[in-house]
Amino acid sequence: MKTSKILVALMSAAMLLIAGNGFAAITGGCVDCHTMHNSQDGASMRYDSDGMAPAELLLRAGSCQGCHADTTNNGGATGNTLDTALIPQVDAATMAAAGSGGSFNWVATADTVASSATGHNIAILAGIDRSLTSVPGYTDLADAGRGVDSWNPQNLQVTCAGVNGCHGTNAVSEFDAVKTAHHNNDGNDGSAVLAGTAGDIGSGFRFLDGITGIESSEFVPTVTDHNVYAGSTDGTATDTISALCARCHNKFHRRDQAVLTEGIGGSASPWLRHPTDIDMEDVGYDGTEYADYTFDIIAPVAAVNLTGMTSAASTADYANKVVNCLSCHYAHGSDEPDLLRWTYSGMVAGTANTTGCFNCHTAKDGTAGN
Amino acid sequence: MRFVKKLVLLQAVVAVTFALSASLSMAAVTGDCVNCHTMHNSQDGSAVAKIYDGATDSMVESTAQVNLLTSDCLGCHTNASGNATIVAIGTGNKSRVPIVLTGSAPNDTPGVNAGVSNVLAGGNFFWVANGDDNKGHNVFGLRGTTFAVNKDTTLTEAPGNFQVVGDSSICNDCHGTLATENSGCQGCHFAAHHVDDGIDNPLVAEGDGWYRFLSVATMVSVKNPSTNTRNILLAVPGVAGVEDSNWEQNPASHNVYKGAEAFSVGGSGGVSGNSIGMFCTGCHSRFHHSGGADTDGMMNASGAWIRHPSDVKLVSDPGAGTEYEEYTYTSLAPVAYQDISAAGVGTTELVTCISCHRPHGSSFPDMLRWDYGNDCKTGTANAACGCFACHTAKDDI
Repeated sequence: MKTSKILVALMSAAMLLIAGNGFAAITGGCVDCHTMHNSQDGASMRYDSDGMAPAELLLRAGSCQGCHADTTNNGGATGNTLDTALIPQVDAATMAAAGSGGSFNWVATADTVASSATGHNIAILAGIDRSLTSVPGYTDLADAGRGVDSWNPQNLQVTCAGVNGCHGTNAVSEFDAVKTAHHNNDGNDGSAVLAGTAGDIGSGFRFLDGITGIESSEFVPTVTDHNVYAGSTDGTATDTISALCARCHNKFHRRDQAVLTEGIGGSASPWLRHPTDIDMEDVGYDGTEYADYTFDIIAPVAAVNLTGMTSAASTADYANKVVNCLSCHYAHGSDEPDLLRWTYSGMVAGTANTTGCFNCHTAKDGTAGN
Repeated sequence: MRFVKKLVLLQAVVAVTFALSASLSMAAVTGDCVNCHTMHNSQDGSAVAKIYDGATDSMVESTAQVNLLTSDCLGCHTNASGNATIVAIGTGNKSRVPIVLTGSAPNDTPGVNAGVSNVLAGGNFFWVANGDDNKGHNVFGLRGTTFAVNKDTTLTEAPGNFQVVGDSSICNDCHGTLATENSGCQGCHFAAHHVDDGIDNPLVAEGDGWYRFLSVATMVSVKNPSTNTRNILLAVPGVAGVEDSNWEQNPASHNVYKGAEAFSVGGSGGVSGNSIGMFCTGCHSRFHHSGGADTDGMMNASGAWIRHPSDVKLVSDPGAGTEYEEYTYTSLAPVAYQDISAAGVGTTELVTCISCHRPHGSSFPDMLRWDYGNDCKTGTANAACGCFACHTAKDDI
């Protein structure tokens, strides 16, 4: 026993040396996230304002929101010590401070038709969608374990995790859905390629079940330190970031549509819907406007083979430049309608512009390229 | 296979521990009578009895004590003049007295294995006696002779108190606080220094007055003062265990704690399963039982842990490869055992209250055995953090 522990310790030390400052699973004081009895000086240890009762997994919050989207209470206002600089917050007040997933701030702080369109209406954060009566692009082929033909978001709100959420497994309980993941994250050091083994949430990119990717250690991205998303060239892979979106928004991704209107229109132009999981190089990259694409976090492409890539990847490091859902949308939300990364109404053909749609459609702004 | 090897090793270690402690085992107190008793509390016209005065941190002359003793609990078990934690008294130093309150800080460094100033297994009241409320039980007498000076200045009742919330009756003297005159040391211990079943066996139970005299006898006695004899009181189930003859001053030889998967809601039938964790529930019930209301216990209605488990198997599914299978017994974070008899000892490890806490007190907040706030950081190996004794994968090793 001792020998095996010593060996494990030596191997771990060696790995640490090799990895430099990189780290895998969550780090920090146990006390930052857990309370043994939820009774300190006779008072609750919870960060969030939802209640005083002890939370599952001995956590200091009763929901995902408590740690990741309750900056009023989990910051310094109540004397709590949760370091929001180290724990990703998903409700940043400005897009400049938002993480790669964007921010729920705008969908959460208003309850209007317009605000509903700025983010996913997460149950713990926002009211019901004031406009949609069905999930856009939802079909009975959406693969999220729900087994229902339709989804009215006004009757059933999306959640952070679980059967009606994005993160973790499709367990009913959100905590069960991501259980053990924080302590078993396969790496967010900006170089580890998360394998996305189905059912092993710690191996999933950002705890997304079965999804591959490279996680930047910086939650607020820069062009030199950003996530690397996984994509595919034919839309069949199930471990891409777009395949995840397709679990609900199936029509916006699938190519093998049963009827003509249920998909993006096949595998080549003319498209019926904007293509996703399509390599710009496959649609005439050389010599087309797409050849002038320059990697930018405002319109990030995905890669097919992530091996050897890092969070510092630049245009030249992307052997494939895969258009994906996140090339245009923030997963959580933004300050723009439709969770977009830019003001779509400001995209005017023939008017010089190097960002947004024109990051890829470089010739549509009236210039020869970027 | 790894788990089997671990069990064999553990059994061997515990067996050796038994063998060593058995040879030294003395169930009852030994030494000259005069070391502890005075017949008339009058020697050369002066009082013999001296008791501990928490207000002045000194021994003061006293009126005659019960059972003809020369002192009270704290008086005998305090070393006001230093930090040695075992003191020998009397001619020839025949009586060895475990010290629970020292006049200067004892050594409470996690992982330190030897030294005359090492805290004993139960910890030490030094820190709470000197004003740190959250570093020990606020036992009557530590700071003086009134409830006002002894009480916790923050807590209004025992954390996790379930049975007598808001109760101002006599029950609260034991179940709600140890700072009243009716409670104190006797809130947990029912002294039975001479009780001995005559069996040369390190396992201590009813026949020896229960493990470290932890029984519910005091409480039963207070509740029914006229109807219970000593034997009846001791017949009420208390705590069982194996007592280290040096009170773990050198943890290389250690106590063996009794645990039991018995975490029902309270009750007055004594200590279920003779578990030391169950004993704690007398005051801290919410931290132990399985829950009545959804938030009253270790688990919610769906069976998810909402408080750290105690009296729960460390490895519920042997061979499943959980990090808990890598636990190796350590006095930094000791487990309890369902079966502490000579046969099959150590086969079932249970997490218990004192896996993390020193029942008397420690130098760390919440009477913990280690510095939870500073030494326990997931992803950072630290031998001083007891959490990692069980959560072996959380330190990134």
